[in-house]
Amino acid sequence: MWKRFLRRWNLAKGFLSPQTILIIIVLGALTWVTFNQGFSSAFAEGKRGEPATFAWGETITTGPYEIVVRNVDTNGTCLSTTAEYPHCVIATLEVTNTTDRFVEDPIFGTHLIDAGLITLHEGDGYSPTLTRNPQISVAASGMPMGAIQPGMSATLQAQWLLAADATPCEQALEVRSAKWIRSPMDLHEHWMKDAVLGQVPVCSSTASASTTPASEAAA
Amino acid sequence: MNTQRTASLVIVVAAFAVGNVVNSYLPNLDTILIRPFPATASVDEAIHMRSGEVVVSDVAVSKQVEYQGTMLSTEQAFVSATVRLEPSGATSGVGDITITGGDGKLYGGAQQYAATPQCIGSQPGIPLRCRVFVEVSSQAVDGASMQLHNFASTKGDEVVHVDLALGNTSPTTAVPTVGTREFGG
Repeated sequence: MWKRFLRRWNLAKGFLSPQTILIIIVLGALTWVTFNQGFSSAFAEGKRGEPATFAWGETITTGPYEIVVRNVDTNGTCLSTTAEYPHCVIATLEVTNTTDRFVEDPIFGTHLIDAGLITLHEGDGYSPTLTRNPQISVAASGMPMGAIQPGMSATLQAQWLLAADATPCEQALEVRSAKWIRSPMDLHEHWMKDAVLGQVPVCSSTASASTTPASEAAA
Repeated sequence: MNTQRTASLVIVVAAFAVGNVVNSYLPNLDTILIRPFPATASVDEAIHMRSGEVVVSDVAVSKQVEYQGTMLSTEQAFVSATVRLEPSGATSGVGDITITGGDGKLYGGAQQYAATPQCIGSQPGIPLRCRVFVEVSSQAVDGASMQLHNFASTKGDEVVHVDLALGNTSPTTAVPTVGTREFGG
């Protein structure tokens, strides 16, 4: 049928046979798919790498930010702590904008916490109980933060409520990278969460411990 | 398959590849729609935007500003300025005021305690004076310029670049009052 189609529209006259045109179409499609889908996806996968485990004090590069987990308090006090959610995990984060433009509203916006760049992770999966109520306080400096200007840092705290049967020290903060996308709806640029970079154990503090050498600690 | 057919096949596939590369460099609809309509001005120079006539004046660099009775401090620098807008045909304003520093980086967005620098809400023919501020790096002051966008359209609309002519301006010891709006000024 396709031969009749080609002959009817005289596409192959005097130059390419219908068989050749078919081969070209197939090869062209394969080339397009390979270059536009396969290679780019493979490249993206290659960039992601394996999730790592980070300690407190280590710098985690997420894309727009460099994040350093300065402290995690598993016995904090959240404003909305209830009997149902008695544990409050408070992570103190130092966030540096490494891009050439300001990053909007890291606390009340949708970047670090709401977009899931930093979440509290339990075992092999997310626990709705643990992640359903992340709350962000004002920055540790007492100043509510707006945008983080390029090259500048802000210290902020993120809070999560844990259920009564949760064990805070078995949890880990999960950190994702981010990438710019331009929304086709409003043509504005947004940071969106991307690959999982790694986890920061809530009760592990390699960097913090290293500030006090073991020999001194023993003494 | 003879040589001619093979050559034809190679040529066509190569043409596809070249076309694909060329197409990747051509602007698409999205990039065209967000392309701004730039204009330039200097401090104290009136310039017409779709919103109305705009003048930037009284530019200051400081380590502290007073915002709604609260003293805000920075280790870097606050660049503050008065933006005067006289709306032309409708209630309008200048929104999303940003500063491109001399270091080439873009500063702006919501500031400490304050919303994104804007100057909005005046009626046609009634001038509005707003004192806006943006925190920038100390290294960004020299050569900084201010961008004024038509309200609620930061992309694909007019944007005025105002050369702030700051040079190596040292922060003033005075504490500018910012975040104010005065009508009829």
